Amino acid sequence: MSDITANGAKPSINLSKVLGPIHVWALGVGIVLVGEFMGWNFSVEKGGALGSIIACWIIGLLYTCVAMIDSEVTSTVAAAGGQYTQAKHTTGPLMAFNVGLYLVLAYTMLEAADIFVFGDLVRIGATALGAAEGSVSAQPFVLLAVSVLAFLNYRGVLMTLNVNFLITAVAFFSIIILVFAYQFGVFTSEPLQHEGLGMGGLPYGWMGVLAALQFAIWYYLGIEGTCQAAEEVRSCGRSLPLGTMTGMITLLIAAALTWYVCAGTLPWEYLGTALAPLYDASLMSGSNFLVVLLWVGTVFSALASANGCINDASRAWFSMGRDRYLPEFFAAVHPKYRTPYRAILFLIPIAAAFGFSGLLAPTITFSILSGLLGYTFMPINMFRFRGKWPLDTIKRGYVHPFHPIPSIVLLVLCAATYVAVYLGFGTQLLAMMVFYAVASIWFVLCRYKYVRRGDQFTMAWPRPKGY
Amino acid sequence: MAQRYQPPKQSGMGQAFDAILLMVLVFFALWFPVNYLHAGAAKADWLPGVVTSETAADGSTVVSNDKGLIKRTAADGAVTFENLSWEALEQNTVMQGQWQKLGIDLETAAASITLRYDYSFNWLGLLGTLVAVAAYFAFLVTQSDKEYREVIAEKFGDRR
Repeated sequence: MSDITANGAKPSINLSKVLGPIHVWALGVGIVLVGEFMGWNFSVEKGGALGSIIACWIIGLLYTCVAMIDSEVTSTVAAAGGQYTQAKHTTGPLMAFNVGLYLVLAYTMLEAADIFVFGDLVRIGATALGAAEGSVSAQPFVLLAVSVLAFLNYRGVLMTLNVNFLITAVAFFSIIILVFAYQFGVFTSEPLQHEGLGMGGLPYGWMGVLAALQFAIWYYLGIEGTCQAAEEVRSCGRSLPLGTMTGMITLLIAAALTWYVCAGTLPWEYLGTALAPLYDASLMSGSNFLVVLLWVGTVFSALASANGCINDASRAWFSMGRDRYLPEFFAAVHPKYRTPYRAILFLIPIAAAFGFSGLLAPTITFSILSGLLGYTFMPINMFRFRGKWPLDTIKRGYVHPFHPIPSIVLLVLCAATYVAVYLGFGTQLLAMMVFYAVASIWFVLCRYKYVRRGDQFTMAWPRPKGY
Repeated sequence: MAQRYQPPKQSGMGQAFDAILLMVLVFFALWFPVNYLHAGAAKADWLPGVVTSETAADGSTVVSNDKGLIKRTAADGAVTFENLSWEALEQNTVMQGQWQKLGIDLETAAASITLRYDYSFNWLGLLGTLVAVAAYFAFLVTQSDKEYREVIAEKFGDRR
């Protein structure tokens, strides 16, 4: 952990520096992998199966730009809060407040969607085991799962991410085994039938591809959250890039395989609205082993994602409390377990309330839009970072090539994704912009007065150029 | 060196109020558009081939195509089909087989196959939304820059 706090003093208790690259991988992939088990397929509903994979590639380019920019800035600003801390140093407090909110809400809403899906999976599992339809309530299981995850996060980051590593690995291998089974006829004699299922067409033309960008983000949403672990890794310069890049490779493989197996087994009109498409693909195999494996994989991916989201949202909330952008009550670190326990305990019931609200699509859209706003900030961040500290003025861990092309491409792809969100959830997009605008005005009028000015700049860098 | 700013101490009640207020705002932003602004893209009836649509005297919507397939949606939302077959829905034998393996019958599959998104949109609305996003970021950058100058002045001292 950076030992510098918002008030410039050494804190009496720090977060524990106990994590390695596999924990960073577990955090990033754990949060995102659930997107292969559910959610990505809404892009099929928007643009057809082919439209979905094209959108997946385009959004892959968006995330490549994000990774390039993030690698340069994070390798130089390694502190909890990730992009929030970067915004404090390159742009200013109000932008940092907004970026912190994007992070907290993107992860809290994703956690809500995760537990919603977990509840439905319990119901599906119970029905498959012979329980009468509607006789099993998911809510007690959801509350139990959330309580266990909350306890894990409260108890310590090392155990939390060790568990995440195990269950994420099981979920990832369940996808590999499913594809292997179909491709080589192991456990099932059912073939993949892409051509027969008409996967080569674009039912909505290129307009559908544009609309599909909104949910194609789901393939990768949250991988940038690995930098929330910056204060808790033993070797930030090594663990963060290694964990993030291997995580991104894992996701690219998982996304391609997921599309391949689902598009080869399910009609696109069904696939586009399925709750758990990989589980449905396993049902088509006729193999009990594959069905149980994919049920377990889907449950584990939802739990791993919720677990990682609790970790990341609480770190961002904690960082904002420490800097007094939010009430400083949340800046407390547990004296024994060295976790931001108040931030953890505050956000969990809120995520549970979202999860039980029944507003799954708006919740997912809120998460996606909060992520998208964060990606829109990145080109601004990059231009200001390079402008204030040109390459020869401070030591960078990594310098990304071809600047400013990645920033411009990222900005264009973000604009295209806003159009996609407008096509699907235009009024909600506007409502969320109003929310962030109102929150910004509230910060300027009511919260900024609590912020210690000079303590917002904690890096040992020279004075920024032009200031 | 700029004078060091000493922020006021916030009371416990004030902290609780701020945290709750922020969460109430989030719930409102989620709940309001769903209940009052009809959030979510609209779907419209779709049939393969050349399609005609009309409203019947009883208020139901009747959509038919040049191959004789008719979809009738009653005023209460109940959907019925005439001349319905897998072939009329342009579902080949592979598609039929997969629908059946999923345990979904022809009528249920037809209800999902014959609804598609309507991507027609208002250019002015789109432009207004993009301008709102750009204005939001412009506000953030300019206001942040004012605050950033205070941060830098206190950290590094006034410029000479």
